[in-house]
Amino acid sequence: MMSRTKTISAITALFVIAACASKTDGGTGTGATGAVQIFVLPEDSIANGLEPGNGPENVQDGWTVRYSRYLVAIGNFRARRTDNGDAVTDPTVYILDLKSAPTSGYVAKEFTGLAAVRWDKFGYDIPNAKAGAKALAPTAQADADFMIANGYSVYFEGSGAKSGKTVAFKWGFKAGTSFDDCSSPDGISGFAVPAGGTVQVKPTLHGDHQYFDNVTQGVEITKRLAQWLQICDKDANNDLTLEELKGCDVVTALPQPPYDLTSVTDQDMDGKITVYDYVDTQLRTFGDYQGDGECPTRASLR
Amino acid sequence: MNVSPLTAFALLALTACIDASQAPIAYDAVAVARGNGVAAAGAWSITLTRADVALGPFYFCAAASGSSTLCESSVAEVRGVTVVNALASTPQFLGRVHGFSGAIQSVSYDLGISWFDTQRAATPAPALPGGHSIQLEGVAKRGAVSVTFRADIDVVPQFQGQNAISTAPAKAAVQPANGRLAIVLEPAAWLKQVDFDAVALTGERDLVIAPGSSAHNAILVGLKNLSPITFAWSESQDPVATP
Repeated sequence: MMSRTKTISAITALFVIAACASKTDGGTGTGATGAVQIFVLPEDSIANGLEPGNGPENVQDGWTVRYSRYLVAIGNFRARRTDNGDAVTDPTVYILDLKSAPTSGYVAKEFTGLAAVRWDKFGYDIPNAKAGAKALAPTAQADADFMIANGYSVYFEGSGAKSGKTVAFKWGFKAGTSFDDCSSPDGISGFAVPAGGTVQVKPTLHGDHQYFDNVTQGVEITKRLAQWLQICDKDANNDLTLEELKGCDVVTALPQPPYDLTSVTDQDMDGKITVYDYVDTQLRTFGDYQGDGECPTRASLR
Repeated sequence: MNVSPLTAFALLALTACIDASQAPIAYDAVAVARGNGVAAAGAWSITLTRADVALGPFYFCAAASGSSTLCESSVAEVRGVTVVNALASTPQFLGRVHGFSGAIQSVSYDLGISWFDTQRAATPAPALPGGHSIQLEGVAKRGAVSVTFRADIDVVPQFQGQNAISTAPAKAAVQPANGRLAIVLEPAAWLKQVDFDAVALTGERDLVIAPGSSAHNAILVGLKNLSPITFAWSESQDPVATP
């Protein structure tokens, strides 16, 4: 008969071995698999614009913002398990017309046969469009050609209006950025694949970051302000161009306070920080996850 | 004590399963001034004669963002606030960094004015120069035109619970052998976005820059965006000056 000490030692050894093993196989030990569908969703601010008001999602200085066209390049979806290094990726890049997005969003990719465990790393790119990027229906091929020809990561047309004044804009940016370590709004990283089922993950693209009063990090603790649309329209012709943005000094257009310009960088390398740099920087943050979840690890793409 | 082979195996297995811990370490932080108090801003040349800067506290984070919402616990920190002469030619001691070995990717920090969760408003540290984060004095010249200036700069956190600089890059793989953190600042370059042309047009030749003014905003842009403070770790054990 085994002594009590030996019994405890044996149980301990088996427990530890089992516990260590569970670190490397995801803890299932079942071999079960499932799938993940990747939906790209435009936030309501792109579909329906921004309203003036005092609510947390409102533009607080009285401006109404509407978009009539909103194109984006997105793809290179990827997921990984840090416990064993398993990874899946699809380098395809799509051009999406977010104003014409299906109600449930664009189904951009489905990965099947994934281990039914948590894949704790998820990421994607919003790159500068290059040849080979595909228009995903109902996006028009002409829109994809336009994005590729200009190398834009994002392009939008629209207007801001306040007190009878309307300022129109048509802006394309080459703000290619990778978004990684995506977490849901409650901070859970990646996604869990159900055994025999399909989980939906939703990269969510926001249309309001260029009106934030700071460059948000994590939770969106910010106010939305748009008076700079009028301040930067130097010729007062109600058509705000990129050249006007490049000449619009943040010192007068985005005063601190109420703004905090930490993390805004000189994107056009002209030695000054202008509203162009501010908008460009914000367009490197607008890729979110599962609604308002963040993808905090970002890097510029050329 | 006799240990059975099975017990030894169990202990060995248990040890193998535990991740290696990060070692607690402490090392010096110093302020290093760059630029000799001189910078060019368009056609203007700027020369500082005074640059007193309050630095701290600093919180270093292993995550890519050091903001309070994404980095709830720091991996290293400098807790105090120290006022340094940012024109000094030798490094100045700021305090000890207390933390752990391992990767650092970002930092959040204040310049003497903090707004902790326990405070109702942003609050200056007692030691601030004139009650401000920064005091600068100097002269800007463009040909025969000369504008002297004196600036009181407040770098204030935007929200309760956040630092004034909510996140900035600071990359290192800190080892116990690392002897020193250098916090590098170039104060003359903080004036690069000040519109001295506009000042000259007003006829003003003795400019007082106070919080809320355009020039104050421009200096915040210089500090946060054009010439931000940088961080470098080294094994140097050279003696440093005490402010």
